[in-house]
Amino acid sequence: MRVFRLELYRFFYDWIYYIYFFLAMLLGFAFSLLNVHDLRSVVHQIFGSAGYMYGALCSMAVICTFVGKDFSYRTIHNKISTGGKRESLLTATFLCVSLCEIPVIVIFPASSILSAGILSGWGTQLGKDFLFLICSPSFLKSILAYVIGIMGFSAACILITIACRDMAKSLGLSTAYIIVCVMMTQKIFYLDSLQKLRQFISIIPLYQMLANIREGYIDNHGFQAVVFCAAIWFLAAYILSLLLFRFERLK
Amino acid sequence: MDSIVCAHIYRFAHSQVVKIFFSIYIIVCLLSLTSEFASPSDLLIQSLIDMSIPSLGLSIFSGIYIGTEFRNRTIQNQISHGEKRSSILLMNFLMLIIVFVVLVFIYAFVPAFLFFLKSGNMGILSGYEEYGLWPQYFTRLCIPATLLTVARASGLFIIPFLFKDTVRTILTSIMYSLVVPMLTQSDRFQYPYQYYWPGNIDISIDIAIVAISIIILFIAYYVALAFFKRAQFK
Repeated sequence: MRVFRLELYRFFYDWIYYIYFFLAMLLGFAFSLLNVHDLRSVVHQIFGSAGYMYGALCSMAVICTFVGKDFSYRTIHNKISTGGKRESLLTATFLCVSLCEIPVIVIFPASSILSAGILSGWGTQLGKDFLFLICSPSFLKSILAYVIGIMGFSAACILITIACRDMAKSLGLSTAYIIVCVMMTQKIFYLDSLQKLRQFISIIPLYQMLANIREGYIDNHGFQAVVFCAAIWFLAAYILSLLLFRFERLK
Repeated sequence: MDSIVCAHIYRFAHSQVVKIFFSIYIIVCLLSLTSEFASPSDLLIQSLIDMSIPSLGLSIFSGIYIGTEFRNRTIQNQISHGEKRSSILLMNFLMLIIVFVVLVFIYAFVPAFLFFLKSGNMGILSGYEEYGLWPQYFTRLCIPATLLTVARASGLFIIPFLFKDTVRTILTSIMYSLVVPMLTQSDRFQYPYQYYWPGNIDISIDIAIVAISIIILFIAYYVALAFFKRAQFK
């Protein structure tokens, strides 16, 4: 618990975290400029591969900076040498990063949809659609599925950072991981010629999000599938990170 | 000047990071091969005007490569050995431009070439069957389109010299790579080469695009130089 509080303190007293939050908000605003006259297409793109990639990149920036900083500035060595257990350190980092990335992930679609609503006009037909949209439970459930899916998917970035033990390398590799996964799931989901590969990648949370969220609507079955895949992805990343970190030789 | 050029070429050719980076980048590029394009020509032109993947690639490359030069104090050593700041910047700036052009071409040509091997011919851009000569295609389409793509990415060539740090460079460049393609390729700002073909666009437009792109690159260089000349190194 002490380690967890320490990690939380580190997050909330670091101005970079607030800069990321602000940048994610700006990114959401820029995203809505894609097509300001049509709110539906903004929602369609947010719950499409482009929106997932942007969300995952925002989350990756938070993860790699905060976990990578521990290795680059050698604070993790100090924590271990003062008697901290590696398992508890990693668990606290995992939980803390996962909690603190939520606002950054949420602000991106929220600012994008809000700015699209403002730019397209409150009093118009689109304005009515907008109010209807944000009040519907299905839409809020879609946002929740978006956050859970991105959290599960980007948990692998923690694994990459622990494997690289360096902030710059982990940023590079995590970006490559996100782009490859997004492009692969997009191609396999949309192209019928790659239908046979769908069963192999259906475990990736992004694939489930693409398959189940349709323009801000998700059913119960789809929501469960997203949560299940995200949980598996998260657990796998946690166990692998634990194994890696336990036997890792720190420089 | 010659020694800096030789040092750059040597470092680039012998760098393990460069080899790993280009291997991963080629794998990413090959994923665009799986798209259902009508012909290799369609795939080529769509990839040539899409700056998002090459600029994300350059973000990582410039962060790791130029950022490491600052972190390992290579640039500081070069300055203390009497090299002019302007020549150091010029070499790095040119290298980033060349790497970006190579990234754009890899992203456009490698999947198109593999598609060509599979289909047997390059095909003609859909909707323009009555036109279609390859020399025209290259001179009138690839050169201005590539230059315009490079000009749109000009901010990426300044960022490493502004921050002088690996992580900040990577993060700011990724932000740039996400926002700029989004704003310049959206439905509101129709990209001129989206519906481009030599048959229906005057050559003066090509020349204007090339001139504007080169001017933008010059401005970017002088902005970077203004920052780099005043930079204080620890």
